[in-house]
Amino acid sequence: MCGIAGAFALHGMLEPHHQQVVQRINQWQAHRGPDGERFWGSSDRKVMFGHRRLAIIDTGASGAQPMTDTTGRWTVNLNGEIYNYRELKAELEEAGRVFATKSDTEVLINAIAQWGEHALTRMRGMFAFALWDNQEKELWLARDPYGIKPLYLAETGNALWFASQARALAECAPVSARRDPAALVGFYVWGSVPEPFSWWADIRPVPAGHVLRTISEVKLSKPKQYYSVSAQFAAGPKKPMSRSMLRETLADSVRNHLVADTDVGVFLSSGVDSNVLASLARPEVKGLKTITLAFREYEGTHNDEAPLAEVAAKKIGSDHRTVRIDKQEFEDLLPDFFRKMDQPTIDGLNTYLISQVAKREGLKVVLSGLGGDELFGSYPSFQQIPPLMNIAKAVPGLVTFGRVLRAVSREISPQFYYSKLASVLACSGNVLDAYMLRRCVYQPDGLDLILDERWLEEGNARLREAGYQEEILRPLQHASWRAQISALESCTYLRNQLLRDADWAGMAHGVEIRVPYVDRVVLETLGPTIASSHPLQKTDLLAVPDALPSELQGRKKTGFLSPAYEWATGETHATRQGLKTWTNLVPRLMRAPRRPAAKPAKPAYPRSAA
Amino acid sequence: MKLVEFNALMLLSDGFGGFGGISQFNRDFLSAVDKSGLVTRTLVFPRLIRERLDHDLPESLVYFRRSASGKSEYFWQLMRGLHLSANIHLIICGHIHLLPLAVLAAKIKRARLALIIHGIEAWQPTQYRLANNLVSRIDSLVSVSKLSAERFGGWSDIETEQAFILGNCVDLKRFVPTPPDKTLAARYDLEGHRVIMTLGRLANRERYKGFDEVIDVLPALVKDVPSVKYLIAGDGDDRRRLQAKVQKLGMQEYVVFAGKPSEEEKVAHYSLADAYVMPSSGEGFGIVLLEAAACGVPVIGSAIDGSKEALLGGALGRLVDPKDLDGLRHAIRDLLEARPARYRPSGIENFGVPAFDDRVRIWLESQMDAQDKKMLAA
Repeated sequence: MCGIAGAFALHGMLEPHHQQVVQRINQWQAHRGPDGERFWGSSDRKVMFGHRRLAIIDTGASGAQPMTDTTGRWTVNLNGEIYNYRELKAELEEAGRVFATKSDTEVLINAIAQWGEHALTRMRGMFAFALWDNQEKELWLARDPYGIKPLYLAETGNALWFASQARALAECAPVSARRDPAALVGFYVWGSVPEPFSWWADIRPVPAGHVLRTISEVKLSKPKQYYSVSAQFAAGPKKPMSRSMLRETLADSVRNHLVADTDVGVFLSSGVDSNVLASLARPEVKGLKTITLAFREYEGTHNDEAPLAEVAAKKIGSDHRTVRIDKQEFEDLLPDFFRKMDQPTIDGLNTYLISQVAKREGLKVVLSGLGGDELFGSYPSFQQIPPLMNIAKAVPGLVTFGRVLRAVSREISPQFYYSKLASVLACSGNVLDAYMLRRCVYQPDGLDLILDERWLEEGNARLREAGYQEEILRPLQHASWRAQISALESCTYLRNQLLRDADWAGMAHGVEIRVPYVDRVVLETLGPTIASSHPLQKTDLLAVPDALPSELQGRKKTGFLSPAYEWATGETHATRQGLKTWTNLVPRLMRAPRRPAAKPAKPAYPRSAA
Repeated sequence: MKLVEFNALMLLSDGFGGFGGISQFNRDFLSAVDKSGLVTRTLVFPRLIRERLDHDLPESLVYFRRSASGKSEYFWQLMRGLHLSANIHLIICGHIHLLPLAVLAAKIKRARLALIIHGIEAWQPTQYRLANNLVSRIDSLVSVSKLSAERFGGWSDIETEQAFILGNCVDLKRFVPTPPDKTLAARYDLEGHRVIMTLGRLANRERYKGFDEVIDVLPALVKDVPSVKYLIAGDGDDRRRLQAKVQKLGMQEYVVFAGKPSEEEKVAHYSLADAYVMPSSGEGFGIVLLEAAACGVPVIGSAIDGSKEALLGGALGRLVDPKDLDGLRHAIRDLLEARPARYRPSGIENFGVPAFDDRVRIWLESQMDAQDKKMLAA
């Protein structure tokens, strides 16, 4: 996993100043790839790539990027891993293609050369890449189906810029600093900037599961979708799955995710997801390392993950480390945390902290249990939304009554109006409304004390126009609520927050986080079962490993607890208000420190005490 | 790195969607508050919005447009805002007339209270006794000039030394030396003339901008410099009187009443002038002097009001006593005859936006420190 950057001449040719910008972006992204830096430019000066390398597969010079194939036609700039590259390579060799290296990057080039866009649905992995076809003079930009790896674009004048991090473009490329109103509203509602927007109006992500192909001198075309995650929750015969098949599916994914020429560890919490991963990885990896992050403030309380994780690690037989941090260490790390934060998010802190620990332990690659909750229905949304929808269906007029109640409360009790409770009935008629209410920090119409009305009007209008969530549910019109919620969680919360944060927060320390539950093959196998009348439950997952500590089984889901909100707000325990306060603070703390003026400006008057 | 929220609430006469010096100051101030990165959220209650607000505001501001619909609506919007907002740590009163409401807001929120004073409105006790009596409640005084702080201290109990001086700022990227626009010069029939200019509101109640004094010296000045023309850029209820005065003196062909130029046309107007002249007697600061100077126009300002500080005691322009009409006439004549090259005087960067932003940040830090101490003491 690495950092990629580049420029493409939409008209004419690239100039030396374009090259300097790519160098600056690469420099900005240096932490993403501490093992090397390279640049490449096409001879016709149409395109330039910059690459920061974190060497994991074929770690020698032959695996370096940007990489040109043996024919000289294709050059790729890849961030990510293709886990099934050995199988694909064998198939491609059989078809007559010649390889010069042992790297997965060269497999990607040849797969595309051989199968075109179809190659994208044959690759198993996480990837975002830029590919130059020197024969057709065509640039490809693509992202994996889930959007595990990021890729951002900005168009300015004659150039198209791209980079692994939106903030690298914002700070290094000549794009306007204008905020996207949709991102601003979206952040306060969801706690992260929702796709298809970015924090900056002129920068946008390449959508997950999309490929953009463009040539010079024509209008930039729209990215084309080659894969839909949500459609997988509708596809195929909807039948239950046997536990042995589930076990084989997950074990296969874990095996694939262990492909590396460096050590691979596991982030272990006291939750089921990470424990299942560790127990499936253990037979594959000699001396498997597991790491648990714990907070000194939680020591001895029921929020402390460490003791249970230690018991589990012992049973799994891993080489386990518990690392405890306290408030002081947390505060020391905060400036760097906010400097590396790509786009505002209310999450990412624990991943940032534990990745730092992983790096200290000498690990470059770590497996994480992200994505398990989306498949096994273990978020509260799965338990709460369906009954609410059922009640609304059974009681006519309930939604209307809810809306009236909320409207009235605006005048009578504004405090109640702003609470989620006031909206429960009003949101019960539509799964999107109910999901938003479950996930939101602030409700979209409860932001009038947070954002100026101009931002609100434009932001809400842009969010509505984008219809991102409606689009997710489009293939699932007749699917079960469980399938719809799984799709929503996978394509919004998981994609916009968990995966995005795992990328920048891991990369902040040069640590690659791999997510075996977030896998195309796992999704295609489990999706139809999730959509069936007997969807997978956490108990099915619990039965996967041979032995898990019994304490894990009855444990209530806690999430990855962090006292950060309490530290931020001075509250003694995590509260909704604390979360809101943290949300309010993030955009301000994320701002780059003000650049000191070339000459410190002398005040016109001596400073006097206020 | 501060991990606590610090929220402010500001009451002001006008800012975004307004025009004039105080409005400009408020816009610059609120932008600087946002840029400081110290304040999580600023709720802003303007009394007036004169123009359509169709551009983005700094994102940490919430601008309560409805509060500009009248006195009672202002009160209710403010009360609603106070009721709903969780924590407000600093109340900023942008105009002394709003002080009673600001004191009430500070009391409700147990917040610090700061007052900003500009010019003549604070030089004497206001017409509102309540506002005058409540001055003692403020925790911090911000004044655009030392002079305003001294005059304010003259009638209130606030000591001048306690004031934080925050002069207005001028956007040095926007106000730049520009060649005269020939079309504009033709519009006012200024081609081939030596142009002196004053820009400001022609307000019957505020006859302190010095239009009268310049008109008074015109008959004599015309003899010294026959090609002179006086460009008055501004409008207001005093225009008729000034026009009558010009007529009475027989100076019609030497005076152009251009009306109020739009914000976009301001630089082009300054650039028409060979000298910017404002022998005022009641300016708190006189930002227009700096705007003209930033455009490279030689400036003559007043030695007896806040203009003196804006011109750094004479470093950025010549100072005259508006009562000394002969002195004024000589100063204008000398300048027009000398034909100095257009250049931006050094020292003006002290009034640039970055310097202003730095001052606002320093002030905000002092307010946050004081708030911290108050919390500790409590």
